[in-house]
Amino acid sequence: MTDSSEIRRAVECLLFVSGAPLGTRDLALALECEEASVVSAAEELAARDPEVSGLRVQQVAGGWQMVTRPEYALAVARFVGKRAQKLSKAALEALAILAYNQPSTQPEIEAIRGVDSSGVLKSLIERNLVKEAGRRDGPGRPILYETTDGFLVYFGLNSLDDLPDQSVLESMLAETQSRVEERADEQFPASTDGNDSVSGGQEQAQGVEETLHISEGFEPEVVER
Amino acid sequence: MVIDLRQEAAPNSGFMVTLQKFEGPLDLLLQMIRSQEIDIYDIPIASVTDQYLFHLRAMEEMDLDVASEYLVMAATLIEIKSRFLLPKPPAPEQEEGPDPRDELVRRLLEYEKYRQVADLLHGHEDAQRLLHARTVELDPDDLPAVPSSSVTTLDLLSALKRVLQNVGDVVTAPVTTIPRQKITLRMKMAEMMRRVHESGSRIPFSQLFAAERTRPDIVMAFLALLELMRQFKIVAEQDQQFGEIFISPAVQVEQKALAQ
Repeated sequence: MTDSSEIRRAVECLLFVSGAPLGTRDLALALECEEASVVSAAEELAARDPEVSGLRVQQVAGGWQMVTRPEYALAVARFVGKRAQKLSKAALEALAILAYNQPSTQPEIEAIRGVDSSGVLKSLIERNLVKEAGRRDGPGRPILYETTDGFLVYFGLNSLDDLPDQSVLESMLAETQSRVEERADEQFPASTDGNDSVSGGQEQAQGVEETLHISEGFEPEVVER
Repeated sequence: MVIDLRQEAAPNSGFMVTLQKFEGPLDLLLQMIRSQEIDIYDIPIASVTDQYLFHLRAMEEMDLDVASEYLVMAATLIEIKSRFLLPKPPAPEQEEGPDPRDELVRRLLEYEKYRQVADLLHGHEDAQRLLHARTVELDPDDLPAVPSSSVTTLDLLSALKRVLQNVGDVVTAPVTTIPRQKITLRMKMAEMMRRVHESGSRIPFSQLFAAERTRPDIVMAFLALLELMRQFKIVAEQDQQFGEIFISPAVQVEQKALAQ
């Protein structure tokens, strides 16, 4: 196949029939054409005007997939019924940790979450979002886990690189922190007695009084009747 | 889950507290810190410890299972608090030891970092749930899987079936009693490896089984093949739909990849 508009229509057919994401190479093999023409055909489909079709093509898990447009989610939902349960907060946490530290062992995930994660891992494996990835050499030879292609598909990611860099995460964290501090400053303006409470060598020695002093200002989540 | 303790706790203690489900001690601490706009780098350890213990007691009163991790964290907080309370020797001002809260802060920040990712994933999840892909099962009899560049166990199985079909006559022809020959997986694996290496480059799947004469031989050879693939010693490739599956030593494929 060489005609580009013909390839585009054929790619559309294959994506329709497959349902699951198809790789560029697989598409090229089936259509007996260059991979580059598959990519441009799929990109054309992905960028197609929403007016043209209720379906769209998305790039996911290193391949291409045809899905319904979000605008018609309600209509489809009325027809399809209930989808699988959403992931729990614990499951999302475990996936987040694994996505950035793979392969990883259960104790390593638990060390960051601070809580037992065996049940969570089990259900993630059942949902094909996580799989075993051999064992780590060393005492006990613990099982290693990694995220699956199903993970990428589930979250609509093309690859793990779609997730923000570690450095971006750090700066997001710093931003949250400075917002918290700003709000705290508004609520409790800096003391006017000229005592610099942030720096200085005596900070540690004063630690207890200072912390107690600060804590007075904050109302705990407990209300006395 | 939000439990209102007003009814249960009010008569005795006069306290009212809204209890949420927490994902663990770090989650509980973070929520305390965030809701009260505490500077995470300067946690008022005394009051935070008290509140934390109060939460634990409330959970216990509710007969919620308080996981041991919560108790470990309680011990950590109390330990940090006690270190602040200990009188400090009048050390020279420069020689400050590490803040006992440092490790806790590091853990909280690390945890919160991944909480951000979890929130992000949650957003992706919501967006993706609005999209539906076709989920209709393809009829395996009339629609073979779209040609896949990676060979699946199913492909291997059908290739095995073809080999077994060809060998059918040979197996049934002579009717004599032959003492059972012991074929071990280890033997077959060594044999397979040798055959793959001898072939020089890649060897067609069917040819690999040409020397096998009996059903047990073929089955064991197939098992050996699977085991070798599992150990990444050999690699299977299929260039086109219904095409021959080729087996090659894993090293060779690596070299090819490097050469490219």
